Amino acid sequence: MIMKQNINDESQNKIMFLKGGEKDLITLHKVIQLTLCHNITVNEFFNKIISLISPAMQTPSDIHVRILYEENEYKSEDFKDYQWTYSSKIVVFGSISGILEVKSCSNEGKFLRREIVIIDTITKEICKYLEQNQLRIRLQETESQLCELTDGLSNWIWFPEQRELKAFLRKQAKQKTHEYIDKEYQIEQIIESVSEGILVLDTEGKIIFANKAIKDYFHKIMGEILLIGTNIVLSDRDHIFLKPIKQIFMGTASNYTTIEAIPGLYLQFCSSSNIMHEFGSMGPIIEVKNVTSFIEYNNMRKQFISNVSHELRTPISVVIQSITNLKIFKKHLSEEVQDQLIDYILNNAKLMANLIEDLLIGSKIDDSKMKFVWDYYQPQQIIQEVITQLEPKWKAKKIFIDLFINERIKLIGDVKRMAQVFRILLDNAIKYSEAKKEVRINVLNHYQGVFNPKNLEGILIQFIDYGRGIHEKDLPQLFDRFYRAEDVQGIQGTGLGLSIAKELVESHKGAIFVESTYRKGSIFSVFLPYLSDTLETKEKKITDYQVEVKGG
Amino acid sequence: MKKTILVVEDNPAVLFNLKITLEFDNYDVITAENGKEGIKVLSEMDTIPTLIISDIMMPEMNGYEFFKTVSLNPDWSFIPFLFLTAKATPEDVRFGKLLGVDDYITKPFIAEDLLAVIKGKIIRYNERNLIRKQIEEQILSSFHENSPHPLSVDPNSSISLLFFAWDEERGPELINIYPKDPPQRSELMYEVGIQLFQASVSIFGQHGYYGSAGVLLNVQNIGQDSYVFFDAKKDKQIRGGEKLFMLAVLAPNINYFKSLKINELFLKISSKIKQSTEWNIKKRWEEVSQILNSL
Repeated sequence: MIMKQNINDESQNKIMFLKGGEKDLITLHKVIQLTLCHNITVNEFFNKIISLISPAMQTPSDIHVRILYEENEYKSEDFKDYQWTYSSKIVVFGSISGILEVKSCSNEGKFLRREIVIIDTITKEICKYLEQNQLRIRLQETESQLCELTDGLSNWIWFPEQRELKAFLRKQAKQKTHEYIDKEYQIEQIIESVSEGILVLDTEGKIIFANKAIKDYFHKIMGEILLIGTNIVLSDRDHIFLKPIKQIFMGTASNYTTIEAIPGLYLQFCSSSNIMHEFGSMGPIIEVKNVTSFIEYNNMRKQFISNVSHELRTPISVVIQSITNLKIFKKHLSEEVQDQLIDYILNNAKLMANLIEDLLIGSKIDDSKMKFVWDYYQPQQIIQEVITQLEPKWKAKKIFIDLFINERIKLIGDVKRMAQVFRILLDNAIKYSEAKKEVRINVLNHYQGVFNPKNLEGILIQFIDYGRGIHEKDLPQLFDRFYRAEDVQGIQGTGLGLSIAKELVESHKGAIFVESTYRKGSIFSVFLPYLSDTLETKEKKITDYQVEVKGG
Repeated sequence: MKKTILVVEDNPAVLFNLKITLEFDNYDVITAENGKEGIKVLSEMDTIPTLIISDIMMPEMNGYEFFKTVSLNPDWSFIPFLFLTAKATPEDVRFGKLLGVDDYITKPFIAEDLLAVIKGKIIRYNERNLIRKQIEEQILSSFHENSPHPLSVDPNSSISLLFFAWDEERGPELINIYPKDPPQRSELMYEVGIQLFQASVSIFGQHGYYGSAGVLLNVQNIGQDSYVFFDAKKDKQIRGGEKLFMLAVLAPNINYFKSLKINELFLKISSKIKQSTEWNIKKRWEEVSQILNSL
């Protein structure tokens, strides 16, 4: 019994579905017939279309339709703004010229999938019709002009081949018109697809032309469709996007106005002078450029300059202070104190030299102008030197440095560059460590493990701190140049160090890795393979990277 | 007696040099490596230092927190406080000054400049301190007869905002007071206000400065703290061409940090008074209460 009921329900549904399909077909047929009629006006066309839509919907009595096309509005009888709206854009020759809105007050909810498909299909047919219509009208105009011309001609002269000539001229006219329309269409398409927004107003502030980019911005920023013919200048709406357009129209804008239209999207507005059109005066042509990447780069540059100047302030301060004290109080200072001051001067001058080196390397990596001097070096020795160099920093925070290394290792590489890598990593470990904690450096020879996926012969050097750690979301960008996590903005740094370390390690055929637990600490691991020391590879490596750096 | 300066700085080289510079300029220098240690040093000192110089970016407790802790403590809040820092963008400087520090010096700095600032701050601090003490003493003596003062035992002790102006013939004149109720209390407030004004005018006058100056007082015998602010409005009809006025807050407890915020508010009111624009005393009283009741 239940089974039978189910089957009945199902067949009932299928019949409903088929009936729905039949309804769609009938509607579409009527729409297509309508588009083939050439003897109706656009007004009549739209009104007929409107009358065809509601019968195609599930609950015709609850449906209201409105078409906005250029400056006109077409509505179904007793049009009301109901809760549910489905709208479809009317695009003529690639530009949005209008919109078809179907509104429903049905309690059953939104539109059915079937209904949406039929609305979209009808809209497409409307677009095709409008395009053809425009072409047809232009053709007729040219033809009639030509007819007038040839008719006028025949009134003056009569000759036997007149009829043929007339036909020939008509044929020519038809062809030329098509070519002309094609060309015009091409130009329109080019302007349409330019990535910069182009907006043309008339002298009253109405939109004469807007290309795709402008319409896209309008839609993205204001959430509306921009229609040709509307007047956005005289409307009393106050929107950040409309303000520069209004200013340009009123002539009160500066040459280039930049706004942040929505967070992270910067647009620059500029205008050309008004051009006089053959058929009356056109208002300004407004260009709208997306300058986001420029602004972002500029902000990053500003931040970088402020970071660098900040990094330089403390060491310069120490140098000035120490020299001043030596100069003024020299006679009164003990030899010990004098030596201490000279050491401070030297250390801080070196610190500044290192910073400049970092900056220079950054720009050299950019231009791939890095020059390496390949030689044997002992990592343990270099690390020891770096530890001594950074002594003031770790002593100030009462940090203990533990260096674990149990054998003499010899590697091939550029000593100066590798020292730079170790300095960057140790400096970070100290900087982000908590006070009075330990920073550990492990050096493992013949390392085989996750940081050496190709199982090469080489060493692993790890810098381990128990500090603030790194947020998981910051890890992927950590080695990007200038990148600094938001939560370390209060700590000194240029955002250069890790990107340089990575480049340098990679140019030694090595790899650098980070593991971190937020608020617990971080481990930076550097794997360096043994490079073969034959002269051949040595030379080859030099040519790989060596391009003479000009100047000092 | 040598004056003592507390220097809080995490960079040993900067600290070492500062110590030399200051000691040769005849100051005693006490040092701390971060804010936390600075607080510890302060609480262990027998006499408070004459001035504090602090870095901003330091481990454990940074300069901002250190300044806040210092200014919330009534024993330390009067000590002139300087930031000496590498944070030098206009935004950083603005932020530091907004906190209410006495000066903001950026690295690198010239030793002579730093010494000049320190000297200036100490002179000003001494002057202020003297004025404060004198006013407090004078008020104390003026309320001696009927002690204990009824306000000191008032269980509903709350915040009052007073606005007085000086009249050539009549002396201090109450323009407005909030709250007006209960009348008994506002009567007492009026009396205290008159005393404050008279005492302050005579003492400020001795030192030769009126106009946009505020002072935080502890009026012990009435159990109130008071922040008193003076300024003058241009008035051609008066001898001297200026009419002196006073804004004052009386409340059971006003600390230095909050007095800085009240000062900001009073500067705003003052500019309205000078332009003869209306201002709403109830609204301003609410703002004062918000400052005093916040943490």
